[in-house]
Amino acid sequence: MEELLGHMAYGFSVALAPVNVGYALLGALVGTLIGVLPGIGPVSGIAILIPILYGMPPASAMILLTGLYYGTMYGGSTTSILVNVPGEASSVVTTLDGYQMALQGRGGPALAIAAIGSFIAGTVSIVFMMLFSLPLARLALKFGPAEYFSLMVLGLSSVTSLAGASLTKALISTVFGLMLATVGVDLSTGTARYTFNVPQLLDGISFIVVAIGLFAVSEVLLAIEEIHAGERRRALTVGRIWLSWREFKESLGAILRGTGIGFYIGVLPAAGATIASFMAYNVEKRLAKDPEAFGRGDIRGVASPESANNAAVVGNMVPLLSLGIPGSSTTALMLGALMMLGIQPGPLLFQKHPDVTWGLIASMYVSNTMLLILNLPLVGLWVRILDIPERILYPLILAISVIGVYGVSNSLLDLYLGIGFGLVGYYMRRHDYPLAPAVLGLVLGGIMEQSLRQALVLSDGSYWTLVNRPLSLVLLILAAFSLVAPYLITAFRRLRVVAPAA
Amino acid sequence: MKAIAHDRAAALAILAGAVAYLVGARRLVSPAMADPLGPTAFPTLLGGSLTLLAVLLLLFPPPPPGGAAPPGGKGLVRFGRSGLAIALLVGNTLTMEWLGYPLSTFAFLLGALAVLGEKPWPRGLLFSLSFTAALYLLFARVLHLSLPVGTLFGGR
Repeated sequence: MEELLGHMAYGFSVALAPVNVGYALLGALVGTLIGVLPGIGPVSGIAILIPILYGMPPASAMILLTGLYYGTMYGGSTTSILVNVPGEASSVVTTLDGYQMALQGRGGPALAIAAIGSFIAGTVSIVFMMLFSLPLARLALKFGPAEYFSLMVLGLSSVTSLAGASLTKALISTVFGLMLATVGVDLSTGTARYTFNVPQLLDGISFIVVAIGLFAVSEVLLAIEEIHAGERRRALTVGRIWLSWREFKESLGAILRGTGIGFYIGVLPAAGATIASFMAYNVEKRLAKDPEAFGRGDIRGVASPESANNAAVVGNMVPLLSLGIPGSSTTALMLGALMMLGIQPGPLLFQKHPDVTWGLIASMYVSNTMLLILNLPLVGLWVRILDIPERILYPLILAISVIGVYGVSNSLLDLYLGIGFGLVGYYMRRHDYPLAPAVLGLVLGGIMEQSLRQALVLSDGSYWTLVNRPLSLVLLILAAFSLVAPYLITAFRRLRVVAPAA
Repeated sequence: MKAIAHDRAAALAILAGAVAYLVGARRLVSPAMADPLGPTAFPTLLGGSLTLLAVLLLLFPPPPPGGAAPPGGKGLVRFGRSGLAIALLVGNTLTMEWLGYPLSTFAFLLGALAVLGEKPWPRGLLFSLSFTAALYLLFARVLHLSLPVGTLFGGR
């Protein structure tokens, strides 16, 4: 313990150096801005900043990038809550209750609990990171391809079961997302799949293109016709900006559970903040005495995923720093940045570059506190976004969406695809097909297929490997349970109602 | 009843899409490698699943959601304004590399504001000009995103 405190004292001496505090502040500010803008996520943010990292001390560079990564997570929830457009994949689930809260004039409390939940989750999970980094990294190493495949199945089944009124339509949406993930070059064999001889499709379809099309464009299309039909329900700016003590108490359990789930999922390489946010939401809904309140503006539905995605950011750092394995595309870029600066992440990083590792861990506390201080006063400002008349706000959302999509690879094809997905999203919303499973299917599809193929290579083609391995079997049982659980719970409740009546 | 008929029609379209996807999977060339699945198996699994789900939707369409019936009776009429917004987006995409980002965005914003009921003169014009300038400055100058200058003006 004394050794740990010594390391932390050294870390804080690095993180609190004026120049590094400046970098953390810059990262937090740029990250929040990037997170608020739909379509520009942490990956684009880090990619934009990489050129300016040349020549910087590695510890300062990592502090800047971590501040930015955190900032995008704080900012990403803002547009999810206020205009139903997620800033990135890990904010998709926040739209379910966050936007409903905004529609009810509770946008302020929703933004506040997102910021407070993110702060608590970030702070608690940094302590987890310090204490459990090595044991968790060892457990994560026990996850073979079969376990990863089963984890992806669990992630998909969790979100499928919670989204929408019809399981068939939710499953169709999931399979649609998985199918989109098969477009492009198959990494194992080099075969081009569903590319129709279009070179731009060889890299696959970007998540940003699909998310902006399905969420942002379709939202604007629906808004336009509802405005003209006089049916538009607008998010209300009236009401409280701040959340009440009762709302905070109500959310605290969800924040702590979201933190635990988010951190653990974040530690598993390849899982990350998106799956963590979906799982935390699902667990919260399952545990609730009133699950029907979720999706209708329940504050726990914002607190839980927002805490989970921030905790997952910290969890993601564990395999990155201790094993040199990136847990997400964002940490993959951070790995690239570290290597560009001449640092080789891996088990020896803590010994060889303590300024980078402990400085970065300490800077997480600094960034987290900074972001809370920055974001809470900004709640009032962000809610003012809703005061912008719709006839001005929606064209602006479309114009920003165009840049977000074009910025992915400077390709006009992406813009056409974005428009196409906008029409698909419009149809899906009109006819009760949930959008979230499609997005998660696209995000997880590639890793899911690779894991399955690797598992089968290791087992000489035997599918039994998925159920022969205890951890994988447990995950698959949980997946099956999460699909049927809503029906079992409903049936059980009906029985309880009928029994006393009888 | 209308929603159920609509779901059945959608199920047929999804079925057709699933079959086309499966045919695409069958046509993929699978190199002989030590990979038990190869590039076709996962798509085949997905195509098969979607086929099954489409049949389920066709045979057992979900009951319409409670509360207000989904608006749809005048679907095409309702979609008119949204259709205009789509046409503007397509127009913006078609002209972006030719006119350049600032000019095409200005034209798009002017059109989109008009579609949503903003008066083109003078507010629409002022909003379009100021938003285009702000977006260009933020993304091209501050965030260094590469946006087309426009071949019309000799750029790329």
